[in-house]
Amino acid sequence: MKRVLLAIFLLAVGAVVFGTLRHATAAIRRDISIQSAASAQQSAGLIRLRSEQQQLSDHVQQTGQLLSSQPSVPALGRLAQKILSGASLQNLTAAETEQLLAELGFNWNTTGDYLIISKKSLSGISFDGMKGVKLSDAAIATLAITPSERSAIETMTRQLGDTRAAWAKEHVQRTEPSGDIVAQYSLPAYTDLAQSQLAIFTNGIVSALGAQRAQWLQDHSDRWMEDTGLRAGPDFSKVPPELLANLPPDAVQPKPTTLKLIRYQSGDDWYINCQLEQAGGNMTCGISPWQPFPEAFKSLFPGGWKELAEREGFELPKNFKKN
Amino acid sequence: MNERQSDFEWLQRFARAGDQNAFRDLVRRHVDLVLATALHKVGDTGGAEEISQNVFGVLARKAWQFAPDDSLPAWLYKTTLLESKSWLRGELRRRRREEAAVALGTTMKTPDDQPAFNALVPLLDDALISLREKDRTVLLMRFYEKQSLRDVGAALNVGEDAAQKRVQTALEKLSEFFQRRGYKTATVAAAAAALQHTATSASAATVSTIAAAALKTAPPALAGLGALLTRLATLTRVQTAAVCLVVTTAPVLWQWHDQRQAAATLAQGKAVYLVAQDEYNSLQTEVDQLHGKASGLDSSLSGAMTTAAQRQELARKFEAWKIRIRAQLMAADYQWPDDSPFVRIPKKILPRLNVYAAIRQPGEIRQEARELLGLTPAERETAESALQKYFTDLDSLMSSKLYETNRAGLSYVPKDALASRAYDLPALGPGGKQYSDALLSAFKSDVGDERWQLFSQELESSGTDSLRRILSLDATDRGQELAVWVQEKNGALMAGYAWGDQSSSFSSDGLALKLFLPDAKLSSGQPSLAELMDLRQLPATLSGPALEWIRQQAATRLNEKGDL
Repeated sequence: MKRVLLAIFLLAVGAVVFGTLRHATAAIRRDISIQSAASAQQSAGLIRLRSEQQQLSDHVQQTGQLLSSQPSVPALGRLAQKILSGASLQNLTAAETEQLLAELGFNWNTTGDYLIISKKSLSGISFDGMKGVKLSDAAIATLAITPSERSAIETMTRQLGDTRAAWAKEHVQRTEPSGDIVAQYSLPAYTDLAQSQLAIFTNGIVSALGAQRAQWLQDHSDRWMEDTGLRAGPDFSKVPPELLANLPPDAVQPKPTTLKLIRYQSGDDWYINCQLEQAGGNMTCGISPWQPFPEAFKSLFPGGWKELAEREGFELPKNFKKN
Repeated sequence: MNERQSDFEWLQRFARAGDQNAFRDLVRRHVDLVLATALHKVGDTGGAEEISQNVFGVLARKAWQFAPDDSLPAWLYKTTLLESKSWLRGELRRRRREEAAVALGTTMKTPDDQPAFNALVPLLDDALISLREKDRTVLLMRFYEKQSLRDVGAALNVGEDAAQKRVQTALEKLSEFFQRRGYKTATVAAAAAALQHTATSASAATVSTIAAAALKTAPPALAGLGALLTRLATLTRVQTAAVCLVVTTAPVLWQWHDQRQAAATLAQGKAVYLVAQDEYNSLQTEVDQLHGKASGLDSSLSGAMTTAAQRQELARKFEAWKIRIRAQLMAADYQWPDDSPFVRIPKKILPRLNVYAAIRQPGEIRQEARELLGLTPAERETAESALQKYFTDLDSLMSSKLYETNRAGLSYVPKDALASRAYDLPALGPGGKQYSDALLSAFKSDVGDERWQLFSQELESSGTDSLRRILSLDATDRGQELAVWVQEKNGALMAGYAWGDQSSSFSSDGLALKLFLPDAKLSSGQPSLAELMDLRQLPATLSGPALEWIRQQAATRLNEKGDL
């Protein structure tokens, strides 16, 4: 019996030790299994990473080569960007205009019988837009006025002239010559009709040429409008305020236009001065065959100085006889 | 072979091979012991035989449990005592229903005239049990099994004398037991007599009956696991321990080895994992960096391509715009282009166009003039360089000749002027002409004959803002004078000026004097007082000191007059 107990004891101890070891081994094997799974996963991850690393290295290399092989495209200049941005091109600076003309290849030697200039410069160039009731050659050439446009405008200005002439005949006042004054005529301010006449003129040229060219033509017809009475006085809108403040009050007010011809002696010869008093200032000049007859009175004396002299019965200076 | 070895062998043969003869031999050898013990215990021959059958029946069932060093007589004795007690308990219950005294007298011979050892018999079993197993075995073999001293010695692996001595010693211990119980006359001889008296001999028939009865209760021969267990049961304690140790150690060692291997595998796996993890982390870092680099490069490439594409597209658009503008301006059926910054004019109309103050000091050609001359940037730079040099030289020459005076000669000063100053510049002479000739020559060379004709035509006209006046071309032959003054008009102080040379003059009432104060502000678009006063066409040598004199007058007089 003791042997059995001893055997049972020893076997039980052995079984416990075996069981413990087996349990520990099983735990280790589970750990190994987990470890193996993790290693497998890690191996797969490593393979994936190596592949990814290779791909990325290749990608970086190829991209770097692509980047370095990119053609260098120069940036567009600020002026070109300004033009493409749709900004107004009417206010380019002088430098920008010069650069743009160079970019376009326009200069004296490349444009043949023509010249390319900026519209902005056109504003600063002086020429008479109108000559009497006709457009000037300069206006026709610079504003590219077509024959039909010209015809429409001149028809309109002729009608304005006729209206003005009819009004002048009706309102002109003659003063009897006395002393050295050989002739004196006066026209009241054209205030009543000027505004409507100016409107007709403005609408007429806008209708014929469009707003842009009409504005240019009007800007270059200041003197004509003053002479024809479409504008009652000088345009003071462009006069600096510092100067405007110094002008006498009557200078900017509408007033009658008066023509006086005054004879004077100089040495052995005598001459006749023309004195024109009108809104905005007076003008004095010696009359001669080359001296233009005042526009305001031209409708009354289409023949100019000679017709006036015949009508008033005075003798013109010697230089008229030479021509 | 000693008896015990013989007993063991017989038991093995019976247990393993079912050898009934071997078992019968065992019964034959030990039946006297069992029978005698049972008989003196229960005092009934029939009961003793029944007990003997039971004892040997137990032996037959437990034969496989015996080990070589187990004492079969000792085991049989103890078992017989236990069986006897069990039998007696059953018998007692039966006898209580009978009259015990009568029955007892008929079943047991205890004559009064029996010797003294008879008194020892009741205590004999207790006495034997009190002995050590070796002593008890010796006595049982010698007296109950009636073995010779030689057989007893052989069973104990000693000689006959030594067996005799052990028997004697055991008898002495037995007598001492009795003496301690008050039996002073219990000598060794009495003890031996008690043993001899209680011994008995079984007949061959009894032996056969007992063996047969025992064998009926015995299990069949053992095989397989039973044989193994039988085999194990036959091992000594040391052998059992050794076998158990072997049986347990082997799998434990195998398991321990397995565990060690697994642990090593795990450790190796972990080490490999850690190394791989390091590589993984390193690779991951590298991949992350590559991702960042690739992303940056992609972005750069995309940006570069986008920028290049945008630039190319812009360049294409600009080129298209230029082509359209060129086509528009150079078309045979040219029309006014509302959407172009440029217009086309015929060159033949140029003589009828005028540019107001085409040149500005100290050497700038106005935009209108450069465009009307169709100057390239290089031509313009050359012309302006010549102009700047000309004005510098001219200013130097004029400065050396300029003088101030309080009395104007060539110009008119109002009589009511509060103060006046005249600046006189005599004719510059050949020095001035040298400068102007150089300028005009350089300009002609720069622009060529065609444009020079236009330019020279401009030089012929004279007037306030003519090129002739601005370039001071007449200053070579004519002296000139600029007079400036201050006068009061309508309660305000005004600055005026008059310019004159030997052939022409012009004057202006000028501007309010307060405009010349240091803190006076001009309206926007008016670059200078010189332009406001219309003095820009005069040499700066003249206009500069004149304007400075007016500023001094403003500072002095307006401070005196207060708010004027």
